[in-house]
Amino acid sequence: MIRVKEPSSYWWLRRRKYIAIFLRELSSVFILSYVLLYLLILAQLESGGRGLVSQFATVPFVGLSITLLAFSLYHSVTWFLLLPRIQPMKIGKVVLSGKLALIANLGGLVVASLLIASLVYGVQILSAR
Amino acid sequence: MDALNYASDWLDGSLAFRWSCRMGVCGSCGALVDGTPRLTCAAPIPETGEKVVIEPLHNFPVQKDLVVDIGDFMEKLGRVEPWIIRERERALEEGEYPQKPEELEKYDQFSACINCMLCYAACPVFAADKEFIGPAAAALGYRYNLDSRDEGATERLDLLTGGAGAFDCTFVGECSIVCPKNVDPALALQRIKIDAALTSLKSIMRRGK
Amino acid sequence: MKSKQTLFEALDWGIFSIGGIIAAFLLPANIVVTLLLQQPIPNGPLATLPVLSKLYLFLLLVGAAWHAMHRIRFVLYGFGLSHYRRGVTAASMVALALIIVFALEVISSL
Repeated sequence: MIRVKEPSSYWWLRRRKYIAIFLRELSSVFILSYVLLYLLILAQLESGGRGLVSQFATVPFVGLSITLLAFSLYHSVTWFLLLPRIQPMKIGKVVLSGKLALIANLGGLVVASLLIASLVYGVQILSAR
Repeated sequence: MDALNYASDWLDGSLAFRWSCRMGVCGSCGALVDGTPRLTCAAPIPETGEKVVIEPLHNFPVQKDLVVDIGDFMEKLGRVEPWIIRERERALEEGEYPQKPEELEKYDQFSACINCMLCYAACPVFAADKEFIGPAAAALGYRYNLDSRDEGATERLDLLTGGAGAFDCTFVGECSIVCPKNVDPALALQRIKIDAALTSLKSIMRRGK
Repeated sequence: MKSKQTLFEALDWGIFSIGGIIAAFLLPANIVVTLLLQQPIPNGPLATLPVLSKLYLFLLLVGAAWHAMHRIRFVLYGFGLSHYRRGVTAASMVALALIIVFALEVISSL
């Protein structure tokens, strides 16, 4: 007697390509977590508390921050890889390949990051002479 | 495919599988070859004699062995109105509808679909929700939105996005990777979303006036 | 003639896309500065016009939240909850509304 196993709808959880995409979607949980965490930090500071801020230097908090950053970067990179598939990036008339488009976008990310750090948050990028 | 025919001829005559043209244009022979949706006529047997596992396509009800039921897709295809819609059809005496090569270029790749269902087998959204319109139906419907002779884009856009429509796509992109005819259904789905978003924006601004 | 469902989904997706661009370019730096460099309060030249830094924070946080919530909703669909579409959508919209209200309150008091 042949027993037929009902195929699972989750076959894609067993394939590396699909897991990479699943992680991409999962990065949204970490992004939302950062938004909530940041708002809580600001809310607490406004009401005079320093509970969360005092944890900044602790190992668990640094670990959490690095995890949030890692997923945020994974989100950025996968986003930069997806967009050129819909709208190819051009410089003038030259169409950039997937790899070049990624590099161009990463460059944009670096520039934006420096601008945010210095203009919004006042981080000293260049040491004052 | 030769292996399947050999198996059917010499090993087990009851083996059921679809095949026809043997050259990748009929779309009959879709199956999972070592886990990847392929046309069996286009999947060579490794010369090293390693074992090859052939299974029925993911996400479809299995009728027997490698034969799956694609009736659901046929229904979805009809639903997206994959034909030229015009307010007024030209009379025969008025002649044909001329179309420039650049206009043909716009929709050409989407018309290459052979309905082989490899894209549906690769789609995790369709795996989770069988109501999802899916890559091929979306691409074939969108092909008409891009056709210069067609006047039904707005109406078709509603059909493509309604229910579990184009907006359920999360741009996994595997559909375009497995397509044996180089159709890019992922692109069609994202363009449908963009078109729908822009028309929605326009309709809101018009209502505001 | 656009159906209400398509209109809603199209606008939701539009904001999701914009939020995605915002999150992709702006979020990593924000995490580094606010958590790792331990400087959560905007104190840079932009903050001399508080309305500007507040606008930045609002667009960044709400944009990223909208983007994330949309993705989370579709991950849930991927695990079978697409049969409860209305409920899941309603819940995610309520959650988003709460986040937006919270963000408005916190950012305006800065």
